[in-house]
Amino acid sequence: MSKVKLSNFQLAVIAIGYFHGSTTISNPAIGAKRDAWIAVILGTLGGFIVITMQLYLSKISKGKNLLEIIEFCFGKTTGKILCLIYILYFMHNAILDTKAFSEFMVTVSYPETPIIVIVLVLIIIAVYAARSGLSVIGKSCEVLVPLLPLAIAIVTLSLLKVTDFTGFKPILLEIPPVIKSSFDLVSSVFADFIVFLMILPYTNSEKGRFKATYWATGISGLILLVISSRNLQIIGPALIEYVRYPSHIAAQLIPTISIDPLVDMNLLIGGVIKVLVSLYAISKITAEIFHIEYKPLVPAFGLLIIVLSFWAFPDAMELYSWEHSMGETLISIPPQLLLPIILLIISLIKNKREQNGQKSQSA
Amino acid sequence: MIKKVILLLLCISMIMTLTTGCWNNRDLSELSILTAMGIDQTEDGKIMVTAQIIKPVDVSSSGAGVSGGGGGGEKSFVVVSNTESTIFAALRTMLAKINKKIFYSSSQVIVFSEDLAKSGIKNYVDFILRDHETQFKSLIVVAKGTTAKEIVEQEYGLSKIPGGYIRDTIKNSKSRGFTKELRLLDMARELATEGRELSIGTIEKSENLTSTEGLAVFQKDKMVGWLDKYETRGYMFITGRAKSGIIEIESPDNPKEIIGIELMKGSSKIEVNSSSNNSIEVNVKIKAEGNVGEQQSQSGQSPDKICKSLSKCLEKQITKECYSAISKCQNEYKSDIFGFGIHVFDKYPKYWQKVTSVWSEEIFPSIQVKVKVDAKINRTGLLSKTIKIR
Repeated sequence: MSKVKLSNFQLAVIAIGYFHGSTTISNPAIGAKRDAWIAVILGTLGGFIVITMQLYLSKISKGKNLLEIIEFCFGKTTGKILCLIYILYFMHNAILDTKAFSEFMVTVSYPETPIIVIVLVLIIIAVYAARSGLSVIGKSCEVLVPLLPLAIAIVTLSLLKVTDFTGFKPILLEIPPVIKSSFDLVSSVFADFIVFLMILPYTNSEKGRFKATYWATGISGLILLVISSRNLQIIGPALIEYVRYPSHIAAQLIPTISIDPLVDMNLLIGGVIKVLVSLYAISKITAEIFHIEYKPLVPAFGLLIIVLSFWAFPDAMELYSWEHSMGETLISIPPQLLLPIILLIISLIKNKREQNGQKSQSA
Repeated sequence: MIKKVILLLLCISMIMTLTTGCWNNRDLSELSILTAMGIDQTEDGKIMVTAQIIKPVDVSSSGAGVSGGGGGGEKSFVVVSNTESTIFAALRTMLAKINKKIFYSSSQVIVFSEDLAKSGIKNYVDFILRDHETQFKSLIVVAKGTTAKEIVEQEYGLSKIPGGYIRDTIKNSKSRGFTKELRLLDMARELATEGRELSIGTIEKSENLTSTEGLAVFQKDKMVGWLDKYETRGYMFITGRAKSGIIEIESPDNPKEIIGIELMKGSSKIEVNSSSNNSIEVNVKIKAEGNVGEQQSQSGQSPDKICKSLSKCLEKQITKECYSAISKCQNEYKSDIFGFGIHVFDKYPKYWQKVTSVWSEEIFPSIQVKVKVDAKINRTGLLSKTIKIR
């Protein structure tokens, strides 16, 4: 259908931007306090496993996107109903990211700006990019995403003069929070890679996909590791649970100049990419269910995201309590883990049967 | 063609409206720039906030020829006080007295008064941490013997911006070692950390100036006492903060003659052990390197000969300062400002959980602290030995 092909580099770059998303401002690994770095490492490893499974699912279904895989496995009608789960789930992600992004901006930089303005600006950009299609998304990410590690490197290097090394010790006093936050990390960052099943079929080489995605995962894990250990060291394990946006404070502490907008810039890029990819996937799935063009749907869904983000999270407290509750992790398990596993098993069986059928036919 | 022009105009107008900056954009001329903030407690338990606001015109026109703020010249800043139940309200209702909105991101120093520190600072830190305009880089000091207002009102002949002046005097503790440079974030961190009590550098009024020497010792959020400047340096040595400074030691052969050693390097390492009878033992290892900077003694020997005995004396002096700080905190104030508790937590987490609640009251005063100083004299400056008067 689509002639657009993404290069593997573009795929990796979109993935980094997507993983990065809002993690600079609210890092789930921080729940493990002084063991956050262990949680990040565990979470990244867990991410590798989940992503491998999702990539494998895409590989064996030979160029099908998420919707086509589901329809292939469950038949047309059931498949379409199941797709609804994904639409809702991606919608939830987009709403959460939109709101997290705009709350951060309002709390930190623009306290008197109406929040609707910030949401609107974000959604306008996302809608514009999603409407323009994958090649535009890929190219803009190619330009913007390299700025993320750059900004992080600048902030981190200017804070290297650390005097208080009590941040990390004692190691592994309590194991449950580490496990919990590494699960949080997998579910809220890496396992959301499922949305890329809508993009993967349009990359130009099947071979490099695995490599590109693994690179993206590794780099994102490294960035997370750097951010969380830096924040832990600078703000301290005791204080970090009271602080809402550790990265912002860390950037504020750089002597003589204020470059905290660098952190905000990070978020602008990451947040837009996250919302953008979700928006693209939602519109694409819906369009394919009804066999219509996806472009007119994008602004409609954009509007829906704006309205729903205000309806679902009327104030900041609600957002934070939802972000830190088990609920968010629990509702992400079916679309991220259960369904892909079922899909994988069914398509393996079906593929085998087809092969057998072909064999018996040819024989 | 016309379509393109219209599109271009639309784009330009969009960019112009969307990139003008933030919504509540305020120009410099509409702001009152705050450089220092003093927080006092009034007798009826309310908060008096004193703001030191710079007159922008005066500062910009100040040249070398203009005599400074002190003396006959006009002051380059205005001090406004306001009393309310919360800091935020006090700052906001201050607008009844001044015409422009206060911009407190530029606050360099936040001064707490002695009375307020003694009655507990926990009600006063929340606002300055929570508000998005305050800077986590601002330095914190406690006014000793005066109110915060008096400190903030102080004029300095050398600088037209008193807030920046006070900040610089605190910052140069790097080369003195007599006070502790504490940022707002560090204060919050020390308050939130278990196993380390808060200690804040002090500021005192002296004649026409202020001096920043000494340390205020806290227990939880309440101030319990002071350390003098030498005890403060002991604290700085133990926590590894002392990097430079002049240490005066008595000459080995004549105690009346003083030798000034300039400290060039300093570092410390704290180790915790549990001794046989299950009590905690703390070993502090301090490494110091210095040069001979001034010598009053006229012993026939050149300093390189007495180098060894000099470094012994240096070790003795540093050890003395450390012990005086430790014994005062252990016996008088019962406050673990050195953070030995953190090291205990690190090494014996289970034991720490048992004693957390009684640490500063019962355990800390009774632990044995051993200070071992390893000092080295490197150079003697331009003279090989002091000149002999004949």
